[in-house]
Amino acid sequence: MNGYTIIDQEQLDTHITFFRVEPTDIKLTLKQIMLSLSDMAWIHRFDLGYLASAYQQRTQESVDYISANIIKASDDAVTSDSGEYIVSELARITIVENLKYLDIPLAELFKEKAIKNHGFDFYTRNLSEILLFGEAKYSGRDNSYGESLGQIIDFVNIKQDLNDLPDIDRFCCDNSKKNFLNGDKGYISAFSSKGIKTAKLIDGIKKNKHYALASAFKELICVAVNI
Amino acid sequence: MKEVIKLILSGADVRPVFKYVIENLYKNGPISVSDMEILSYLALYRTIEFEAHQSSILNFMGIFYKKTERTTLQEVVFMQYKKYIRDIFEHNYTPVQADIVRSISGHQCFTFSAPTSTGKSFVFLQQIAQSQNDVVVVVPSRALINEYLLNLSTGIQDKTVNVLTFIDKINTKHAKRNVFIVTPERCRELFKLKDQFKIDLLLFDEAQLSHEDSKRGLYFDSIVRRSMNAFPTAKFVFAHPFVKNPESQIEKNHFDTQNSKAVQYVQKNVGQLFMCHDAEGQFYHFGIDKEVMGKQKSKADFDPLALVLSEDGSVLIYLAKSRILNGKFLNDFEKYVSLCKELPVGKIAPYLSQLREYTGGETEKNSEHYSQMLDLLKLGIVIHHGSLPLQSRMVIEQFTKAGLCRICFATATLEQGINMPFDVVYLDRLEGSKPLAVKNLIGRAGRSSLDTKFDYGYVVLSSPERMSAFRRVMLQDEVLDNVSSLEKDGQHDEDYENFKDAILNGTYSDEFNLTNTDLERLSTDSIDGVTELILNAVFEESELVALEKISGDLDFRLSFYAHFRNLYSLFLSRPLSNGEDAVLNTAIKIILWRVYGKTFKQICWYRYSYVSKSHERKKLKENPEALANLEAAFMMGYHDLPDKNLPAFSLFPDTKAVAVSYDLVMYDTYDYIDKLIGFKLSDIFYAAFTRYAQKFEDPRGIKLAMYIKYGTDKERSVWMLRYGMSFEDIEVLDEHIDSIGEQEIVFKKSITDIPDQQKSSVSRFINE
Repeated sequence: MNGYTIIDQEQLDTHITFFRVEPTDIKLTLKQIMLSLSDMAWIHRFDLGYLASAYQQRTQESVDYISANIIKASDDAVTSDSGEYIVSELARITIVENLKYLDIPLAELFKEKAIKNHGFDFYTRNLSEILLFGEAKYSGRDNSYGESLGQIIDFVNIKQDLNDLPDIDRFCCDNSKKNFLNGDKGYISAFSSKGIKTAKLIDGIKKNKHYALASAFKELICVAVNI
Repeated sequence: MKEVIKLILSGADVRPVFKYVIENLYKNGPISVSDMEILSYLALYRTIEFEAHQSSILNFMGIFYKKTERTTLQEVVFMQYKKYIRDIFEHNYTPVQADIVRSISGHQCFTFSAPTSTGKSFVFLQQIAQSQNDVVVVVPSRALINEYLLNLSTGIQDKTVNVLTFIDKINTKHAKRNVFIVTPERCRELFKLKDQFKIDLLLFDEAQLSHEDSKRGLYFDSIVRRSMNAFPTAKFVFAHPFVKNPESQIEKNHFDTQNSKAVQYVQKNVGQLFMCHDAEGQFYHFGIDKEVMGKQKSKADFDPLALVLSEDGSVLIYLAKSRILNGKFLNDFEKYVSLCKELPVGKIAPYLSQLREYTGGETEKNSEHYSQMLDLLKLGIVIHHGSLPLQSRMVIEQFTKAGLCRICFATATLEQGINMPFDVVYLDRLEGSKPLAVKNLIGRAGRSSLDTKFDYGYVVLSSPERMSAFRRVMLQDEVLDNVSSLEKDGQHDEDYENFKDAILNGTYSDEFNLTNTDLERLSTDSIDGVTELILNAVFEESELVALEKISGDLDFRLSFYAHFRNLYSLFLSRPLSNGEDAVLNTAIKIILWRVYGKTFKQICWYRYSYVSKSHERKKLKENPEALANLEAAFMMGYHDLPDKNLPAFSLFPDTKAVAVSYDLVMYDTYDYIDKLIGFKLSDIFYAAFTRYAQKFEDPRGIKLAMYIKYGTDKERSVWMLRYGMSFEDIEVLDEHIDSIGEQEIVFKKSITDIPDQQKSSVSRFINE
């Protein structure tokens, strides 16, 4: 039921891991995201589950529609928004399940002040109690690691990670916060990737100007999601 | 979030503010006063940024009647609900509207409260239209009856549905079912005819009336109880404005809790921002929650009233009734009045002609019956208060609905108030003691539209000193009593206690709308004696004496009035005060004019002519100085009865005859007819004459009783009244009616030549 398989995994440096992930069931991932989003909406509680199955039917219709658009690499706003959620969620699960890092839900699902791109998309904590901040980007046309790494560096510069800290406070142990304040932190760049060989993709990532900056931190994980 | 108003006004980065408020909307819905304030400020001051977030905001508010796009997955979630609601309910209902429909269908008793502009009227219309059998709508005032009548008459086109403002069995040949819109008092007729109707739904709107510590509150509860007994399978719906515990209706009336539901809806469809101005005319913004919006008021660089008027918007100004009646408001608000330009004649002509026809007022300044109320309409300025004749009120409300009203000067009575939204609500006074009424007024600010935009309005206070009291009202919860007054021992006067006992013991007379104690008081020998004197005076050989005899013979007239006063005094079992005497004299005169078929405007003309001494003024035409100094005559103003301490007072004290206001005479006449004769005296006189007729087998008693109740004793005219025609309608329509009775009205062919507007009262009964 995890909805993905890892098709490539490489260690780019001692502290830099690369994953390439193939979604096996975009619809399933999307549906889970949508149900989680719906759970948070006031209208869901207001409805009190009345005719829940009828509503789920409509969710399925939306999921089918959006998935079809993602597969067609359509450029409309909802597709791109949904694509970003899928990239976030699959990258997050990949790390949690394969590296055994801490399972923290997507930011949208718990952050007090999270609406659209004003802050990191997801978070985790590694086995050495270092906090990692994840940023996902989706593009219908290109490999979007450039946008993702760029956004990470922009956020670092405006101390967005520090800003986000109160939101994830309840998931963090004291040590991890201490480490963060000492400058020990890491980042996750999650992005959509298109029909390109992994070697070429990694080559491109390594040449990106933001990659060098992002590598300077305690840990960096790059997750390419094939959608 | 802190100091949000200052932040938005300062030009600082407001992305965090958008983030904060949109997140709140998504998770909690449009329920917080502060969130709605913040959105209004953002919409006002940060138009371009607002545009970028608009679709999220409108979607997350759940106002699905607006057309929106979806650009995020979260918006997709709301769009799914929108589609789901449309599929299930066949309308673009808001979640609140959908929940109201579902709750009505799933429970025998559903009681709820909701802010203004929730769109409940639309839901009710659908429920009433879709009902298979008879429906009763109970509202507190005749003004609300008319509002419903207008909406239901246009909303239900099917002519096999009677839409009636009395409980009656008419048009039986064509009607398959009935919708009755009545006050609790008129609802009593339902029980006499209960076997003739199959009631599916009883809808009690503005049901907070039951909370009123008065006979009306008691009566309301009694109607609910009796309906529960008479129609055990019907559904009961109670709608309230902002009350915290709508479930009080379930508790106080002992509905089966398993089959009942109560909800307090707090979702809002429009935003509001709050302002005040100081004596220098400087306007300020202030927030309700000081912790979020800011502790200090913030200067605004615009005048919201002037801004809205310049953009062809509308302003509602609440004033004390005395300020409206003495006309000073025009000077006080001159700045805004001067912004109202004359409307095109073609647009206002139909409204003015209807008002002229009914009120008898004129718009030319030097004409005898000059009415400022009518004249102001030319500028789009409307005057609205509880003494405005119902027919005029309907015309004025249609005028406002048509978008022609720029400024409405109104008083703040809840049930009598204007039930329409405006862009600005200006509160010249603030009655902290009536929080429910004040909240209702505030609720008029902000017009909800179908446009794809965030709708908001301004509430403006006349002084910064009122901010604290205003905040208190906004934050205070209104709690209704969950024990009915019928079951409480209270400290009330004898009249109230008699009434309560009669209701509880089932001895209240539906036929006469009086308690048995009242009826006993009307059955004494002394009353019989006075009644006989009245009948002897009014009838000559079983026909009414000529009006000229009454008006031309002073002694006769004085003794005649004295008989009526005597009857009322015997009914009260005490002598009358001077004021009561004077009120009764006027009331009896008006009753007589009505008995003799005089229309409302004729009665106003007679009274105006008397008080302004029109005959003397004519004689003094050549003597301007004497004319200018001529004092107005004494005329007792309307006052409720009984009141044993009431002194006689002139409606026009220290007023020159030339300065008598026609409008004041008209309002006063309507108060006499509506509040005193309609609500009190006609029941007493009707009962006295009917009982006398039964006791002594004197048909004159029945005849006079009919005249007093219906203004006619002719069966044909009574039928016309029962079909909802007014006397003014009858004047026009009588000659086009072939026959009329319980089964139907048979019209002559000539009815097709009558303009729609003149036959609107009967158009439902015209069958091709």
